[in-house]
Amino acid sequence: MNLLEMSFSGAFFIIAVFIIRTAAVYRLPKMTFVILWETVLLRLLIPFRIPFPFSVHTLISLRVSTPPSVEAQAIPLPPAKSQRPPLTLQEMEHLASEGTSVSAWFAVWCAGMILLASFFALAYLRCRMELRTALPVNNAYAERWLKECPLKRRVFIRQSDRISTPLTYGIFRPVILMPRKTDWEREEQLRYIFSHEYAHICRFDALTKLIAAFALCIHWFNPLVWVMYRLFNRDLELACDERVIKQAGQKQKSAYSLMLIGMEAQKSRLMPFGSGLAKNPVEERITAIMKTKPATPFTLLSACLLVLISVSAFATSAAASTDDRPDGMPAANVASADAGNVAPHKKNFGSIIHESADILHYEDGAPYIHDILTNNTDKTIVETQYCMLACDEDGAPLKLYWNFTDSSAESSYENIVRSEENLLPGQTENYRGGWSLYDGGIMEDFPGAGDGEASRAAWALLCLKQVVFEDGAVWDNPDYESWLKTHAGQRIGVDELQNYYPHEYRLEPAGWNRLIGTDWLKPAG
Amino acid sequence: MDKKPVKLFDSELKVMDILWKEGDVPARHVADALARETGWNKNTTYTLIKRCIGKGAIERSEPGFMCHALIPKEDVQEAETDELIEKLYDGSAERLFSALLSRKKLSARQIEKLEQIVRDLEAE
Repeated sequence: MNLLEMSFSGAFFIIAVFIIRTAAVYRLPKMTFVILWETVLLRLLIPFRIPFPFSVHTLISLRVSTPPSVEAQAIPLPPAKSQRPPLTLQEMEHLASEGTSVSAWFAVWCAGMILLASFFALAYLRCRMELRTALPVNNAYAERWLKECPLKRRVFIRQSDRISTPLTYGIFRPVILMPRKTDWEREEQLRYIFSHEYAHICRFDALTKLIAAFALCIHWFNPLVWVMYRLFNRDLELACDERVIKQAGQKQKSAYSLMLIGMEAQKSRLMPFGSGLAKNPVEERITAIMKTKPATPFTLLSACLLVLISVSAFATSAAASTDDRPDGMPAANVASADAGNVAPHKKNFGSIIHESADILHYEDGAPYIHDILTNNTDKTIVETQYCMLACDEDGAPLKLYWNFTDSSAESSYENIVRSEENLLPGQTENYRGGWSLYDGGIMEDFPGAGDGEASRAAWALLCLKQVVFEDGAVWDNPDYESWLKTHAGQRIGVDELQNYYPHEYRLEPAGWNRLIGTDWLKPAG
Repeated sequence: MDKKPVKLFDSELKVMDILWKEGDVPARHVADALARETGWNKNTTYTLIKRCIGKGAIERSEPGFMCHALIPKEDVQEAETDELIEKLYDGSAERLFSALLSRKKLSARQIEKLEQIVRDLEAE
């Protein structure tokens, strides 16, 4: 699935967690929200594919990340289809447009991501530089505390005059950094601070925050991901506070809160954006601490249920969409379908997928294109017509002598072929011969038409033009012309070539020109 | 020379301390001494020496990057905490907007309000 779909389904998940949080932030164990946010992060980051090219086509079509079949390499020859001469050589009027395949959207997205990522990286590096100049601490209580610290990682306590409230940094060599103004005499206060920071260290919060920042960089265009980022950071604090109270005891809630308020008074802070999200973070934090109650079986059970329900509702629906292609509609499509009154029985139309098209070689070294098609509709396919292009390993287009058998010495970038093999519903062809590429140097049986560039062919790009089903229904690919225009004779980026397969065609109603099997348009239920 | 007192951070004062105690020494010597005392690596110390040079507290001379304290201990003022680090840890995303938003300390009234919350909930 592509980035926009991930962002969309992530957004729905974020809204759900936001609602749960607003309703129950003071009632449920704080770990509940941390776990929910972490699941949101997974949703946003997996499966992660850079949408390339960022065209309308990829916006609406669901791409499936099955790696190109390895079997294809192992299948021996001979090719079945090359016996049959390809249908016609269509001379398409030449594509004047020099339009690049990388669209403006992709460039904008990249620019935003790089900008935000470098902002984070610079801020982070500058801080690390500063933090390195922190000074060691000589304090009996701190030394005692460190000795009792049961963690495998060695923890350090240092101090600095560059900060006004304690903080922790470092994933593998965690450092608790104390402000210089710390009152080292008040051991009770030190104990609270250390145990709060210790909770951060135990849970690898520094790493979690990095991952959250990474997700934010990728989904920077999604305002809900910004909301998630802020609330997640807050909830990490709340979870640590909760742990401090659990250890120190319910009676210490006031003392702990008042200490935090004291430290807040030292610290200048950003006033939240306008009315902002929820309430003032400090107020929320103090209230959350004061309202902390020991977990009861009831709160634990409801927390578990909430996590289970929301995870299965929001995280797995997306996972299903990568597995069951016909059913799993990406959130983006769901949204547009709801808005635009598009027929809800889309699954009837299904999809067809070009799983791969590899350039393989006969024993004599002659190249041929080996392609695999999957039929995800519920009709048997009886005929397919598709166009093929070839380019060298750098993506430069190749002009080939596709039709050597009829000795027409014409070379072209594109070649349209027709196959009349039956393909049952749900079936993937496990073997589909190949389409020979003419190489004047090797194939001596045929009249030499000159030295084609077939030996340089490294990539084959295929696109369906038309599909005929057994009941006579015909589907014309509505995107075919634009595909041809942007690809034939054009240099194609290696990234696009690598990510081209599996290439999915969604059989939207728009493509049906001659509908004979009328049951295709009937609502499902 | 400028009469304004030089403002130094603790870490920079550590560097100056060495010079005030031991007189003019090579940068390398400062780095070694501070590595023992604070665990800093050489580059950290060199960065701090450069900052002190920038603030006009140290003068360097060749050969051997000799460091000379330009100011006596009495003329130094404690620099005020700059909250660069906190701004990052406080949520870097918010820092993006820090140019647009004012950064203030909580007012006495806000503190009072927070304390009131504690008292109220304690009574419950």
